[in-house]
Amino acid sequence: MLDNTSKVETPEGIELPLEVAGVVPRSMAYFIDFLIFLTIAYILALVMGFLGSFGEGLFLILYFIIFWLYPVIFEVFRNGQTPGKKAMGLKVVHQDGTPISLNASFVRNILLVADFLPFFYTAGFISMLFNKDFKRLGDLAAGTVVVYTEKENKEDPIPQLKPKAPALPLSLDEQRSILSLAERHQQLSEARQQELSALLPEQLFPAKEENQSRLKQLHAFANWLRGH
Amino acid sequence: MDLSKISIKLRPRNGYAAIDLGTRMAQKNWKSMFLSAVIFTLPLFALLIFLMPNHPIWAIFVVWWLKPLWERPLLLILSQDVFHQRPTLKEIILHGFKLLFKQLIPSITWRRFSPTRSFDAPVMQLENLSGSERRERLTALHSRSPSSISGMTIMMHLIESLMAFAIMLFILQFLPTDDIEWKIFLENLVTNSGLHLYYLLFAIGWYLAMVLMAPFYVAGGFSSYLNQRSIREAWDLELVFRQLAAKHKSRSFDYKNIIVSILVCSFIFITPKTYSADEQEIDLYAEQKSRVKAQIENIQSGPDYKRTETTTELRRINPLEPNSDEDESEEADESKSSSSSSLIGKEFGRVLSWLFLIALIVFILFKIPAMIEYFQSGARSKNEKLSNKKKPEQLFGLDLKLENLPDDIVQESKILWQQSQHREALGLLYRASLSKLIHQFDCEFEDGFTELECLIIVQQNQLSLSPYFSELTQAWRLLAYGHKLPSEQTFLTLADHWSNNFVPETSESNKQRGVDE
Repeated sequence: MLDNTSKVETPEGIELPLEVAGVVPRSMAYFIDFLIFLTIAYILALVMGFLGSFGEGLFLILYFIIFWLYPVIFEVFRNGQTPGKKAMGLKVVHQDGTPISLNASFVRNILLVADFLPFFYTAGFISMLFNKDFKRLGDLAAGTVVVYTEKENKEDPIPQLKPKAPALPLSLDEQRSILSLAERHQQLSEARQQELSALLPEQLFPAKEENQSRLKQLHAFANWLRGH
Repeated sequence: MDLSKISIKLRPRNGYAAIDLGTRMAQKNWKSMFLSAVIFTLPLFALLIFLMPNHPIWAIFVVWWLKPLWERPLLLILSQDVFHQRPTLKEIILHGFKLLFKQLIPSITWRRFSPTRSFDAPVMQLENLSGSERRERLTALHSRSPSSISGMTIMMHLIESLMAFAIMLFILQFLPTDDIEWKIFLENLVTNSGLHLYYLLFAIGWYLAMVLMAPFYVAGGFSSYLNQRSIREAWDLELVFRQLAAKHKSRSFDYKNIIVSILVCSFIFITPKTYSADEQEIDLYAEQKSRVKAQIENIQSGPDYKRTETTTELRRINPLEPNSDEDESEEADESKSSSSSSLIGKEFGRVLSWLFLIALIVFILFKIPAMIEYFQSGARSKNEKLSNKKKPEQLFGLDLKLENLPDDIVQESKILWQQSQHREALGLLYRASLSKLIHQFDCEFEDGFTELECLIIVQQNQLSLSPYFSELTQAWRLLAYGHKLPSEQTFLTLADHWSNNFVPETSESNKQRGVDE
């Protein structure tokens, strides 16, 4: 099964799926960061322009510092998110899913130069397109990946019904699907929902309550599964 | 379409994640996709270059314009692979040529510049829709689709053109000519005065970038299309429900099957064949077919195929506005100083900018604590999330619950000492101290701390009792791990000083009571 996740196995033998982010959202995030950096540099240049050669020197020093430290500081102290990454809902983590360290952040951002080769980040683009976890060269060296920040696990509302236990034992996946059907009751068309519930085996629905439609009964199961 | 044979994991994804899945699909099929892209474009490109050797840019432009056509075989490969079919190269080429002529004119004219080109392609190519049907289907699919698809088109085009320039410059680096000066190069690019070499190199670079990126662009659009349909039609649920049904059917199948087959066998032997029944069945089938057809038409004219949604949202049109304002004022400053051009004006400008710099430095110095706080708060919230703030109930095997300690600790421990339960006596003192530290002095001990780590925390908190606590810890460690009994004198001083250090309020109130009396 092809999926867009990278599997991490913990020492306890649990598989954690990391949803790694690919070249399109990452390029957009970089683009935003680049614009911010340009704006800062432009303002600095305007101010320093008045100070003659002293300003020139100071500008070069500040430019150097901002260019190299802007991503590192944000990544290390702001949860692996530069402003651009935050806007795109991304963050950098180690490839085992732990928060990024100063070393790794430094390595991956210094090697941005390698990704730039030969011109205009071509090496980085090719590496991101052909690497399984969409890593650029800096990521390969530092052992980091860019992942989507997981969205808050908020519960979608489901139709309130008297909870009822399903008549059959269900696996986790099947329970999730029944709950998900109830959660998506506003997005899916009524006919499609009926159709989906007609797919399920008869044994799931106790015969004595046939007067209630299958979909209603599924919603009741969903209420039970959620523990209402 | 048999969903149980699908080779991608079905689940509702966000727009960008769907594109990423597309990238993985393209990685998996890259060889055949790249190959077929080259097979369909290289002859054309070579022919055009041959026909007009002085205009390589036009040749590459034609190839670029015909993108929607030669992307079709790539989509064919992907759509087969999703259901675990691997067509041979011959099949792809044969099938691909047939595909080229499907809705040829609109694809390369007014649909050419649609920002959702690769997302729309499957509707035409795989669902075989055209005209108003296609339009309705697309509005339905677009109605809740995220902006990520047009974002992908823009981004991939940007990457493609960057790559084209990069490849050209890369090749240029290796050319042993001495006139690769930027001025000459740019001049040539603008004025088109000879030197077709650069154009040729650019055309080759663009061509390479195009065939390199095309599989990823097609796959991104196709995967977004699948994701959109999967969300709208709940494919993931259908798959699970079908599997569940199949599981239960096969379970009950065994005995029912046998019974039915026995019945059928007995019927074959008993009843003679009747043909009228078959005819009736055919009638029934025709009737059912027409009914289904009516139903399909009914659904297609229903609201699901013609959904319109109007959404309004507030957007900042120019997020950099405040900054540019500042710039303008800055520029105004500059122009003022230069226009006056007198020495005084210049001096004034210098003084002003020095003042500005000083003000900036002061401002930054002033703001440093706030900035540190800002960055630390991120780290701190992370730490807080990690360590649950529960107070530990036991440390190194000592029970620290308040309710399990006696009321008068000093008295109790002295009694224990006199009963020569020395270990228990000192243990009680130490246990009580830890418990007090946790509950009254808010020391943040964590599960799994050692005695010395507790001591470090106490010293860091700069509590007045830390010398006493260090003494107590030392005595306890010697007894607990070294089995060295402290002298009675040491124990008694420790016990006597305990209440001074740990219950100052009560000792004070005792004193006060003494004064009152």
